[in-house]
Amino acid sequence: MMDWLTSHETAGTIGLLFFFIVFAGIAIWAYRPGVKQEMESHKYIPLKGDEV
Amino acid sequence: MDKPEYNDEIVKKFTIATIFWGIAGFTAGVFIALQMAFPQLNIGEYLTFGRLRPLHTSAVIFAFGGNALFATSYFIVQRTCRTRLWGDGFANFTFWGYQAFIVMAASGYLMGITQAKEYAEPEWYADIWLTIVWVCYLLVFMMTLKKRREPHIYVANWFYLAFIVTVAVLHLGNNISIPVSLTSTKSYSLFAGVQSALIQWWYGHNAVGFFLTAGFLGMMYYFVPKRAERPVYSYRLSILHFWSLIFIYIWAGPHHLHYTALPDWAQTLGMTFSIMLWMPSWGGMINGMMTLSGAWHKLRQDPVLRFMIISLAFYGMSTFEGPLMSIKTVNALSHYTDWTIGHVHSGALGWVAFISFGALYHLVPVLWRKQGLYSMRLVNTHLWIATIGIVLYITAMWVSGIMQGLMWRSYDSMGFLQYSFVETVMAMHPFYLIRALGGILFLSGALIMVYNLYKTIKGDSVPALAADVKEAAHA
Repeated sequence: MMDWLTSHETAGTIGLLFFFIVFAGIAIWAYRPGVKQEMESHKYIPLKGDEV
Repeated sequence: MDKPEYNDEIVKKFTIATIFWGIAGFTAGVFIALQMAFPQLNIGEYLTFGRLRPLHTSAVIFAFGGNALFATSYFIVQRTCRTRLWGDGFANFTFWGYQAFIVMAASGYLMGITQAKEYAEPEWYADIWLTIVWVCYLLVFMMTLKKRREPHIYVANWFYLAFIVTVAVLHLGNNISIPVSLTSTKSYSLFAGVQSALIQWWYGHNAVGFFLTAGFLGMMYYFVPKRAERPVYSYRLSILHFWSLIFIYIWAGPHHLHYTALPDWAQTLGMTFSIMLWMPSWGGMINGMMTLSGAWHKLRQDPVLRFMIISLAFYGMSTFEGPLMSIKTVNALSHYTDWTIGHVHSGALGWVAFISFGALYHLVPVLWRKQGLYSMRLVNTHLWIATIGIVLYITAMWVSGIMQGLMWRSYDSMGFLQYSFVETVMAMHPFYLIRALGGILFLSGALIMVYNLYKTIKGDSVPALAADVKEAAHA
């Protein structure tokens, strides 16, 4: 199993799939329906309260 | 919620250091630009171009840029986490430790002590010292995040954290070397040949990506909304911007090694990822600019905001030019020419320095509790002088670089090279003069800023804020 995972032929493809799936997951998570309001509410953080 | 007592003393120190090293770095840049035009200016052993060039690049990137990143990250993490910076002593150590690193590195260059790795010239002892300082920086930043009173970690802090962590990884990876002895300044890299080159440009390009981009994007995500008094255009786009930039940037380095001994597939990989980088870069640029959507008139009224928006325009331009230059056929012409220098400076002067100037103009009155800046007219003068300087610089380098590339590859009917090397150098001379003029204008603008900020801080030219400012109601 370990040999298969780390072999030259498969390691690149597995890495590619892993990173692509994680990234796609993040994108779907951020843009999933119903969370727009909650997500966007964070953008007010710098404008809250005083600077000094 | 009680009003937190922010540690602004440390931010003030880094702010002053930013201004000081900025002037030093720009001056060194103007001097080496003049050396290119007038080689007689290579005076003695210590002031030759070969020693001053790394002095210039390190001064502007690590001393000016680095101190600006320290100042703004410490400022922003406190405001967006609504808590005081963790560990006053550690924070102070990062200040003095970082300045010591700069002095150690710079004096080394002048004495000819170098690892000869671009943007990683400091020798092993300075590298170890920087590692200690950097670990403390990470600790201060992380612990402040940990004790935050705002449940969500604002996106600017993500960019700063990515910058701190990745720069640590790059620094450790690229600087693995064995000193000749513990009392010798000389060391030898663990890597050799093409492996060494690949690791160097994995480091070098990600120094651009994480030092000069991610950190400054953190600055952008705080100061543009703050100055425009509007939230960033889309928070979800900022999440996508962050992760796409992080995932893609790290693979782009091999574009520095087109047509070298590096395997072809690795070159193509670097090129592909560089082209892909265009999208997150422009996503971020659009996110920053569209923050002004519906409030464009603010640009007319506020030259500080104008600095920030022009910086985003330069960010957009240089992140379009970069992918273009990474394409192998374009690179065949552009590589090793002045075009590269022009590209770097449209990013460094236009994006990095301009967003920092915008941040400084916003920060100084806040830190020194003043009602505003000494003169908005001087900010405007700085803006235009510096912008004209950048335009002269990059257009001169475009013409010079493309001409240089074309002259190198010209053959006559017999198949001989049409131009000797010295002919290309002579042809570039007028453009070197224009470039130096651009640099002088940019430096002059920065000196106007120093005067303006000095007058803001010192004396009674600008009224102070009321001593007891009560916390405003939360929106």
